[in-house]
Amino acid sequence: MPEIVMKDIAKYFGKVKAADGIDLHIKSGEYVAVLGPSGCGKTTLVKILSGIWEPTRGDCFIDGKKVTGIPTFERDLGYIFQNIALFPHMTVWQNANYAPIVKDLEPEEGQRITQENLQLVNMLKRKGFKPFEISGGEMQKVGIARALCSGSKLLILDEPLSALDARVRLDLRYEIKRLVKRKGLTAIHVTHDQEEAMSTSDRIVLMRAGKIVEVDTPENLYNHPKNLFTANFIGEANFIEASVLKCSDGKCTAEARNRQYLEFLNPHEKFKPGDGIVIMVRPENLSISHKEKKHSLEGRILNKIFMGSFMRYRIKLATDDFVLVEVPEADDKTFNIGDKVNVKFRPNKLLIYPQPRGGLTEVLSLE
Amino acid sequence: MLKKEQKEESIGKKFSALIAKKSTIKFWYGIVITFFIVLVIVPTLFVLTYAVTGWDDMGENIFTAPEPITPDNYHQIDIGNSTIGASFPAPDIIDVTNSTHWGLNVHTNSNIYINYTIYSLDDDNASHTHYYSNSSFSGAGIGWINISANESYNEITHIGPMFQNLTLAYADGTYIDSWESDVFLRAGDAKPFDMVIDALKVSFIIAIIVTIIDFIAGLPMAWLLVRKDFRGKKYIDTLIDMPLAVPTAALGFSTALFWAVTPGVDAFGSLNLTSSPFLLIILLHIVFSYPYMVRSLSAILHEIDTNYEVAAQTLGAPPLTVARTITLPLFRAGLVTGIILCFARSLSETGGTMMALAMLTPHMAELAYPMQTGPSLIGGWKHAGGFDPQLAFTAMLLVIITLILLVIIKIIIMKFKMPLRKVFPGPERLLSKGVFPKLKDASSMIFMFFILIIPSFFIFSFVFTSEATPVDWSPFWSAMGFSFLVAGVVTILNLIFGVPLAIYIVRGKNKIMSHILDVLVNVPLIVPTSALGISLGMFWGSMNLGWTTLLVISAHLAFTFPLVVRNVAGALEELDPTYEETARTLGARPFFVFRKVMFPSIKFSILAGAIMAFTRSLGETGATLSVAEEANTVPVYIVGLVRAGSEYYYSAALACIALIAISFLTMMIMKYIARRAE
Amino acid sequence: MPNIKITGLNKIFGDLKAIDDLDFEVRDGEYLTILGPTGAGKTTLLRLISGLTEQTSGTIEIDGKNVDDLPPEERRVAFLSQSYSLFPHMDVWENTTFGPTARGWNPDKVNIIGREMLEMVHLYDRRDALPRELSGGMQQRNALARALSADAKVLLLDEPLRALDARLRLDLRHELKRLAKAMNMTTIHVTHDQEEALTISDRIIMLKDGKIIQSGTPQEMFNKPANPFIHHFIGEANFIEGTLIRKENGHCRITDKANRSFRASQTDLSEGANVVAGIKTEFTILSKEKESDVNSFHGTVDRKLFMGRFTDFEVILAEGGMIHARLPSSIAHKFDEGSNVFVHYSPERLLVFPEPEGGLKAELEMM
Repeated sequence: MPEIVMKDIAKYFGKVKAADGIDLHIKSGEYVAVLGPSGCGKTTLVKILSGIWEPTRGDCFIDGKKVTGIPTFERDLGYIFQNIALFPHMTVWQNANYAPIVKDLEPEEGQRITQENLQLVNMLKRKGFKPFEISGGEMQKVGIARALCSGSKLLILDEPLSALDARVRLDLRYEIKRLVKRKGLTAIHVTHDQEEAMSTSDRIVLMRAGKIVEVDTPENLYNHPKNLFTANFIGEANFIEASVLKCSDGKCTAEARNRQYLEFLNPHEKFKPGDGIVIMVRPENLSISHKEKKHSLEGRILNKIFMGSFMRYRIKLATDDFVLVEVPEADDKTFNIGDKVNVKFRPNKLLIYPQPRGGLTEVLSLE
Repeated sequence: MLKKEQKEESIGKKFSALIAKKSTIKFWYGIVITFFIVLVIVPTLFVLTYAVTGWDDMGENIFTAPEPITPDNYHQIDIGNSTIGASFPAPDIIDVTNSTHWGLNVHTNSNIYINYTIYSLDDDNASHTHYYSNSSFSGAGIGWINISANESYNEITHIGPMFQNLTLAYADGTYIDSWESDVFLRAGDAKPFDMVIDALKVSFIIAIIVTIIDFIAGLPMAWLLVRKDFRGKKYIDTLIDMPLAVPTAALGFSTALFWAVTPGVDAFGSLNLTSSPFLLIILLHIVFSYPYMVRSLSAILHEIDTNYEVAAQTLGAPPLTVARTITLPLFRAGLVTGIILCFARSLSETGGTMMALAMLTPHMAELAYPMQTGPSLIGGWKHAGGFDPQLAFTAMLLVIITLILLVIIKIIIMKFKMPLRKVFPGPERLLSKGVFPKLKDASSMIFMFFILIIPSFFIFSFVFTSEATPVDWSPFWSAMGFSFLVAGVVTILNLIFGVPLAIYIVRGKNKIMSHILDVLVNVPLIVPTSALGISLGMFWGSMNLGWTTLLVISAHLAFTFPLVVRNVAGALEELDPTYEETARTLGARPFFVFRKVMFPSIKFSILAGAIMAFTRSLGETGATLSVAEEANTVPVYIVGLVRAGSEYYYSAALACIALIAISFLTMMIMKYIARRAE
Repeated sequence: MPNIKITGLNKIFGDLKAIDDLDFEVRDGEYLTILGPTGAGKTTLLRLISGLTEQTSGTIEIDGKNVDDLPPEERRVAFLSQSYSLFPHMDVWENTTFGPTARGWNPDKVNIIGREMLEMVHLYDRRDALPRELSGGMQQRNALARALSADAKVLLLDEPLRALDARLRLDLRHELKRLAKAMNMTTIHVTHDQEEALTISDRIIMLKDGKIIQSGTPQEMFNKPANPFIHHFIGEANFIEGTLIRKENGHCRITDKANRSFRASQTDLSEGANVVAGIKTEFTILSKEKESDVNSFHGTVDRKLFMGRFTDFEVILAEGGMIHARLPSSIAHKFDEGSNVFVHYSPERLLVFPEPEGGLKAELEMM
């Protein structure tokens, strides 16, 4: 099973630095998602790994072997494309059977592999169809089977679900994950969809502007992001700017706008009075009530959105910050638009970051 | 002040409301479509009516040989398995301006060499040496030396030419026989039908060979230009188009000089490789058709999503396998376009072919050329005059066969299946690596330079190295004036009617009508221009208008019209209709949408189409010659100079260069505009 | 009062009934979402309303006036296409003021409205930029400003967020609704994204094969879906196929093919009918201990998929079959992969439908 190492990979297009000094180690059998906004260089990375583009600088190693300069067709990998790219003049079967043929396998062996993989994605029933005769989701399933038929243990998924309907996307991403794990492949999955990245991968590489921002498991990135951009990009988040007022016993009090105060935990004495900070909290970790005052800020409900099993409130706080609060639908009955409520900030649910240079908006910007 | 503005605004509003009305739009489209059908399509295909109306005519003039040969007007010399015969009507003085074909009929199986002198008698019965020549016939075949009426006889009207001192010898100079007589000679006994078939055979065989070579040499070049990045690519890209800027008449001159043995003239660097007209014409046709092939192929290569190729490579297919199994099968539409364009261009070309043939055998009348193509035969007959039935028949056959053949080509290519299943991984893998791709790229480059660029511009070597002769520029300028007049009027008409027609074809609500028009627009593009000229001449001639200039304009209109429509329609197809739709929902009326949204996006294509039409009109020979032989456009003037003999080559070359310069200038403007558009 | 009334609307392309006898109304100022899978006829419907396509039969009234014979420019219906169709040769300002200019308003008025709209979408500072110089989100806002300034009464949005990154979409969808409401526009928003529809709409119309299969508020669509397809499309659901044995007070009893007995919600169907019962994965409860005798089954956690706020579980039941459950991530840590769990369906959330023609599998086909 392949292990992948990238050392100081850079790719420049004129002045644009699509990738700029990327170091990455992917373990054998790991499912890694490369996540980031449009133009962050995530696709560049896999194109370099697969040999479609040559890096400006740096080297890739597959199983310890340096692959720089080796043409794509000799790199032994499976590639799944955003626009699917099934060969339009071939049937489903011919598409899947392409790799066994060009790799000069025995015809019986090639047919066995093709049959097996089409069966795996449940597309054997469509084997005589041309790509334009089947739906988008089915096409991508065939795309997956085609890549699997190459027999490679390394699978590159380049935005495999972006072209599909939202609902189809949900079903297919589980299917992909199941397949990869069952076949014991190493997978690199490029996406701009944070939910897709979290639900499929063992580890997420978050990128921005050609650089890696953070690499960690989905849980860690969601629950303990080391970085404000990560916090905002992976799931929705509320941010409140404040400054530290006083600290004692591993706890601090912060002053937000309009003389509003919040308490947070400061176990390693990381923050000192006078520090500028940003408080981050996920919408589901806030709660609202009419009465409770402790650890709470006052606010007014601006909007109420039905989200299925929960309700989401948009609230303007006394600090003039806007926050989202998510409440299970069952608890919902009593709050309406225009209500004055107390929003509770449990100290153990708050994450604190030093005030970023260049301003909060700049750091959070998604584009 | 304000009031006036408001008033103008309201008039503008009323006007735009009026032209936005559905009925008004329909009316305009009606006019445009009628224009296209009546002025372009019907005249282009009018010659087909000859199949019905000309039936009796054909029996008399096409399928039967001219007058029987009788002993007292026929002199025959036996030379083994060959005969040379001179057949002639009663010795009489004949008006040359009316009966214009005179000839020495030759049947031969071996190479022979004929020397002859022709005298003319003036009113006082004084003889003037008028024409002296020698010709060789190689191999088996029928041909005849043909003396035609042309301007040079004007001073001695009512007097016919005659042959004297006719000497025959083998090609090596061995004497055979000779005879002297005061006789008038008449064109030979070959059936015009046989001549037509021979010429068309040659035309189609050449077109097929040229197209195949274009494809084989053009594919790697297109690949190189689209899929590879290398330094100097921009220049190669421009070089490819260069031959298109050279009018074919000049190309014929230049190419013949470079490759062939051209009696009476030589230039520094001339290869003098061949005397075969067949080979020379193929070399010539490649020069001007190759750019079309490369352009068509690269256009479609651009469109093919590289992801298909990348996908195949990630599956382990080496580049050569990818090209064969993925790219080529996806390529068909472009292949059809490229092949049809090359085929039609080769089939249609007249000026360059006539130039090259004339230079191989100077001083020989066209009809006596050892080899004819369809268009050159039309040119010869037209030039000789009095061959209307033959012309109509040839043009008709050319149109019919062209249309049928192109349909067949299209069907074959669309049905043809690449051997997908059978792959040869070993050799293909080997050929995809190392020195082979480089070898392929290098040979494409070499092909381009030696077959295309050098022959195209060899004319400069001639001008710089040969002795200057005095040049009379005044006929050149008058021809230039006429050419510009024609090209200008044609371009303007093309714009007025071509742009709306393109819009109708692409955006029209009536899909069936759009589709029919779309197919019809291509017809003048593939019908050989000389046949088109004959057809047009017949159509307008049947109305007896007799205006040469209008005739020439309408002929040029017919074959340039598709260029404008194609260009604009192509740009419109690329333009996402949601722009226009969005504009409509934002409150813009159709004309406003055209002016503000559609026009800015397609204006460069309109301009490109206009310039293409202009240069094509400027460089066209075949249509002009066949519609009105007396029309004096620049290419016709140049062809005339070359036909007049090698002493006029220098003038012809200078005229060519002047024409090249003008075409070049327009092409550079076009390139500049295209770059700005990007 | 720009309400829209559609009566007996049909559009036939060749053999295909793209729009099949639609009747519906849109209220003044309403934000209506047309939801459906690819090929449902959503875009065709927008094109018919805007006059870009002519209907085969039926009538469209806007504001009480029949618009069937009006060309698009006289319907005052602004259409925003998927790709935005910003005119590439015009800058932000020219694009925004295109509508007023086309209608021949006087320049002062044009300037006022242009500025107002661009300030509203925060693009006034970028008014000299060409579309290609803008990011995806900015292009979307520019297109919106252009549509809003066109003096239209109705705003038609064709998948306005599809071209954007997933994370950006979350922010912009609320922006979209805010602007439409601020301008008091009657809006029809077409999407294939059920979550988008749920969170943004006043009302949803679910379209499939050119027909309306349900319409209602997001709550109604989510909690009272008309058939199994909608149940599974708007949020995922687990299904059981069985027979309605008995109707009880406020409940009914169903036995499936494995002879398991379920208690499900109230139904109008008669006893003995073949039925399908489904429950949203959000309401499929997991527990360590058996908490109830009703609708409780033993199973093993096969796979956990972390998605941020929620974690999806795939549980293999002891009696066979796999079900999905969606739990808040805060409690997901209690159930590891491979652990034994009890699955519980609360009877009031288990909705009963008549058995679909062609079977459940065909009914749920998404692709």
